[in-house]
Amino acid sequence: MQISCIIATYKREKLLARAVKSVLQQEVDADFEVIVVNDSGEPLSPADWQKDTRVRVYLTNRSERSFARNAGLAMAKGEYVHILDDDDYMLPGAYETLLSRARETDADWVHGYYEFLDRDEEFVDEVRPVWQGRVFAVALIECPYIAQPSLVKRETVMNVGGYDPAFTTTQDTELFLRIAAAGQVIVSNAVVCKILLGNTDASHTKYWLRKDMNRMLREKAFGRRDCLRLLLKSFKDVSDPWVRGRIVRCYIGSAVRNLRSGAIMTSFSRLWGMMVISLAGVVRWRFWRAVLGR
Amino acid sequence: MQEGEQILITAVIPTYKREVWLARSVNSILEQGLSADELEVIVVNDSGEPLAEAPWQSDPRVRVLTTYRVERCVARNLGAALSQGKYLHFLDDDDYLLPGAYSQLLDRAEQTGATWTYGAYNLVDDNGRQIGDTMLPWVRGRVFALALAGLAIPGGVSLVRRDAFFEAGCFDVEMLVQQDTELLQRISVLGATEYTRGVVANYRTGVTEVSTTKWSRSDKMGDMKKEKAFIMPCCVGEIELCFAERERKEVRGKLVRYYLGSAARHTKQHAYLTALSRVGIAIRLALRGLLFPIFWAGLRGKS
Repeated sequence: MQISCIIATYKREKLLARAVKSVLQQEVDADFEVIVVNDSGEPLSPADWQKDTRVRVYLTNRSERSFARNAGLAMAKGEYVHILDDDDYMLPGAYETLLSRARETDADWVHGYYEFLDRDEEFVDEVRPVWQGRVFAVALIECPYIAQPSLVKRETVMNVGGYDPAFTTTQDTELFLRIAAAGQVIVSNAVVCKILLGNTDASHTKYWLRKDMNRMLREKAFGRRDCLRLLLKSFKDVSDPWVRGRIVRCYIGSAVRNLRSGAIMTSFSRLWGMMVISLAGVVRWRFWRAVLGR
Repeated sequence: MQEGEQILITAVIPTYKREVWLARSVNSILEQGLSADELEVIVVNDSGEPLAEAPWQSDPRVRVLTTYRVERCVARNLGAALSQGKYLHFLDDDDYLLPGAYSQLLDRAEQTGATWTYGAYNLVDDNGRQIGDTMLPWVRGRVFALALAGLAIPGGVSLVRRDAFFEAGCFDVEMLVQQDTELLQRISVLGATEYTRGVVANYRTGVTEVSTTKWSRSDKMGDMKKEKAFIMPCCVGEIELCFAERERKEVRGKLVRYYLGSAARHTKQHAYLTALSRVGIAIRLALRGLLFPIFWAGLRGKS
């Protein structure tokens, strides 16, 4: 078994059917399976995709998406895992492209390009992330839609511990940040999936928590013993001064928050991190623009 | 399994190539006298190979899931995610319940609404002979400080409220051993712990070589468990809350020692600021114990 696709779903059966079918129709020289984790607490109504032998459906009892996905990950058999949302879908040839790139490079994580669609399924934008290698620094500042266009080695995901259930949104970013810390990332130059944007009312995601969760994510990363070392290593592969500036900004924000909540020592250690990171950036204009948030 | 009539207990048993013991363990649960509306048993077979056929597998209350060599915590979290019960019971495949265990635990849990309810247990050898004394329960209420100080309550003798289990964030998969105590640490912040004095389970002990448990890592894990508690934002507040409920000077001393130990570890790793903040908390905790000899005994590790 080469690929396990995990789709956690919550009361969106029409979209789910499209997502599952987009995977089942992939033409690729490999075995794959689709694990649908239905977190609605109610059984799905019967559909033809459920008859496919490559599909397994499990019912979790409204235990939040991270738990549901961890359950799917635990039962996955494939060498690589692919985590898809129920409202997004893969384009034909996606698995072929990603898998051949993964085999070629033996990377822990391969990601491709993706397109955004709005509520009426109209094209909004195409995103072409180009970063590869050690991408911890980039993953720390922004990459919200990261799981859908990616194949990751199952072993790597399990080694970093799977999803952290403390995160009710931005859990993908948080997981992939830890994967980026653990391994090598390779990019594949093709659009592999379409991601639905803006359908927040029908979603199970707690969008209003996004800002808090982003902060929590950074606190968790900054709290890592090896954070500074990872960042410095990462800047060898990602030399953009803008990224450096954004991270310095995050460090300052974290120092202020910690100072306010009385964690004075933590606040000092953030300022130390900030100084180490900014050393190599001070002469660059783009760095200062990022620090100032422009 | 539908919603509506809620299942009371979900037992989760992760297993790895120990089918003889497993059958005894599953049967001990099925014989507790709970019907299919009240009980489900989720066996997570982590060997990746199908289990040999056994009579217990045809019981409608039993469900077998297969995983492919994941850690025990991942297997347990999987069982919990697919569970329906109001309470979760995590049993190991070589331990087993005694008759009447569930009814005792359930009575106590329902009466008190505790998040974690546990009972007494015996340690037994491979032939089922008891080793040593019965392990009797002795603490209730807010137990965070005690859990941090090393109170170990095995999951196999405990019913844990499902909602609290998820709120606390499941088993921590980084913990390779001492997972139960680390979970207790997080759950004890959410509510009270209760006990029943009846003996509810037999724990097989002694043989570790067939187990997937990484015993070699256990010393590191003890420190990791403490660090995980120290970085909880509510840590100091919760410790004081526990001591406000019942002051234990020897535990206070022990915690001060742990904080100082953590400070020393951080100093070694050149994390001076964290070390300083640990010392600060150690001093704050020590202030209310300085005059008591038993505090100093705890601090020196002689309690």
